[in-house]
Amino acid sequence: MKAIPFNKNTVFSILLAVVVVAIIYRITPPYVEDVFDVVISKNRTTITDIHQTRDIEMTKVVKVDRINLAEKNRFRHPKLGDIGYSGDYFVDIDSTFLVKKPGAYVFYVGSDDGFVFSVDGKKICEWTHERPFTTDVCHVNLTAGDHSFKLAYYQGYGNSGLAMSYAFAAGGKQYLAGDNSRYLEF
Amino acid sequence: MPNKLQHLAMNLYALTLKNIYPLILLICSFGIYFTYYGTPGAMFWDENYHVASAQKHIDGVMYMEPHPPLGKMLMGLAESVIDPNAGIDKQKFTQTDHIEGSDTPAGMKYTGYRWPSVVLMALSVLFFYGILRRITQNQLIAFLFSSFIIFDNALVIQARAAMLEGIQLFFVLAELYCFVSVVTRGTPIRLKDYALLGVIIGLGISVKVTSAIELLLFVMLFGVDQWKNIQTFNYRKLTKRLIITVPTGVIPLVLVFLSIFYIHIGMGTKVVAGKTYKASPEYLQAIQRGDTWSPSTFIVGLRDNLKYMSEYADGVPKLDECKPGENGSFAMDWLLGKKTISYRWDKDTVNGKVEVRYMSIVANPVIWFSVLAGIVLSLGLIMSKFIYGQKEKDTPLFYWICALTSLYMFYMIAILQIERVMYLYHYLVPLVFGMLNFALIFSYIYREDILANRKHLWINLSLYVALVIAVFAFFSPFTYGFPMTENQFDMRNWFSFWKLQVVQ
Repeated sequence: MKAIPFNKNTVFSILLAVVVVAIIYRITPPYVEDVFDVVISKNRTTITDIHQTRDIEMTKVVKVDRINLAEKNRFRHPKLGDIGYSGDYFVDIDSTFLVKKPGAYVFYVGSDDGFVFSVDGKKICEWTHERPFTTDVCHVNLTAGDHSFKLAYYQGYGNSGLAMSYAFAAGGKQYLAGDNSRYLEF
Repeated sequence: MPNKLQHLAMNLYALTLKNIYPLILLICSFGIYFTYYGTPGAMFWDENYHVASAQKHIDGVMYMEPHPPLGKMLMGLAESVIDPNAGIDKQKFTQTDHIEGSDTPAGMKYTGYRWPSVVLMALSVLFFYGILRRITQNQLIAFLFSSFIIFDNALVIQARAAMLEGIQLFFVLAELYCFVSVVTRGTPIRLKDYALLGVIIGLGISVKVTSAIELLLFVMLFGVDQWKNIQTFNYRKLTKRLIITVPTGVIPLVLVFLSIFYIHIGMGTKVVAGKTYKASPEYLQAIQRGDTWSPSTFIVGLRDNLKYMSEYADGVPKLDECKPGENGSFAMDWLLGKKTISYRWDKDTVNGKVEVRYMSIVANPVIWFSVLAGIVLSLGLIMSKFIYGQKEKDTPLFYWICALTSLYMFYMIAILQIERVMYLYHYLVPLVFGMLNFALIFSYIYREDILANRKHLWINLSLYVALVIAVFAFFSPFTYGFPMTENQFDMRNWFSFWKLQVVQ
């Protein structure tokens, strides 16, 4: 077999290849599994309450794998980066999930600022106005089978973030919303 | 007759074949610089100042500016000749130094004002190619590396505007070509070579004073001219030659500079909207008398103009990196393309999707990083000879590398002495030196492969140029204002230190 000569031209070829690979890596959009459609709506006016009348200027939909959107005090996905607007926007996540094991579940909803969490159309917990990132513990009994949830959130001014996880019964192991377990499947 | 025609066709074919590389370059250059240069149909960045000044030339209004007047004169001339705004009232342009949107009449086109910068920059590729061809004696190397000056996003956006850099770079490259041509032609350097160089440098300085960096070419020309006397320390002959060559080069330069100012002062026949700048009472009286072309008015007018330029520079604020929205940047940051400037943006919602047309000065990172690598490699080469005593493998090429590296370094050192805020586009002049230098250091490193015509080298070089063009195309939305979504913007926001600002 003929050996590839290692000379200045080979170095140049390697350098070119490295640069091309680096560029392709950089410009390839990050991919995450499509589990939730996150609808982000920029409001024309200042938002101070999750229930206030919306005056939407523009909307975008971002597909995410988990509801883990609280990085660096921002509404930010670990892979996708900043996905919100600069301020004053609503976020809506509507999704279904399958309960494999019936029983008492705990949903941990962390937000900065307000949120409303409902399961099968019934409000489970909420924080209506601004606050620093804080996690609320929301209890709900679920039967086996298909269910739906709705998580509405708003960001007013300053730091932001939204995260949701669940556990089977209080004190159980916590899973991020989007991670399937032997209890729930999204 | 058919024989004659055949002969003519053969000659034409031979001529085309001989000049095929510059011809291709010129077509590409005009394709990139000239296509739709009338867009955006609104002013951006310094166009608001320069269009106002150019219009004052057209209307014979006296004005003073921090930059010498040649660039604006050419813009005014092109606007008058092309006349794309016939019937549009541009009177408000002469009443201000910075045109606001409200002062801009409907239907205004900028193809006239932008024409000199666009066309001269597109033509500059010929000088660039000529410089490399003369130094490397290799048409293909010169051809491939000339892609740098066509496909750099920062050069293209700056030159496709009624701004000074495109015109300045034309003269900067013309000066360099003149110098290279004189040195490489193989005949003794004559006094008229110094004079010609002086004329072109004078034209460059009359556009932007930063072109004065090319005064170094006089020193280099003298060094080549008197190399034997320098080596033998023949001070008598050196002094004798110096006494002749300095005035031979400097007098044409000064005459060109003064002539441009003479025309500028002569054309300023009226004062509008009470804007008298730093005009002294004597100068204002001369304007009132309609005596603007007299030598006495020229003397006072020149004094007042130079005073204005000097005091304006003193009044420009310093760089304040903590200031929100600061567009200026530190000179050493420019090497990596920091920081970009958003010249203008237009937001639109198409089918519910937000799209933004950005006009931002962004580097072609392949070119800019190559230029930086070239400077580092050149400095290493120079040190290897002068500090470690290594023998160079190609003496003429080595000294050309020294010359280009010196021009780059001296410009940067000079810029670092300036206290006022400076911007990324102030790097375009040394960037062009660096582009030429990179081609030379590449030729030096791969000298044996070029001489042996190795296929591997040409494949590599072709792929490299293809990469330069591909990256240019990738960043072209910032250069031509093509609409982008936020995701498309993020895809191009390669480095956080570029400080590109997304519009949401």
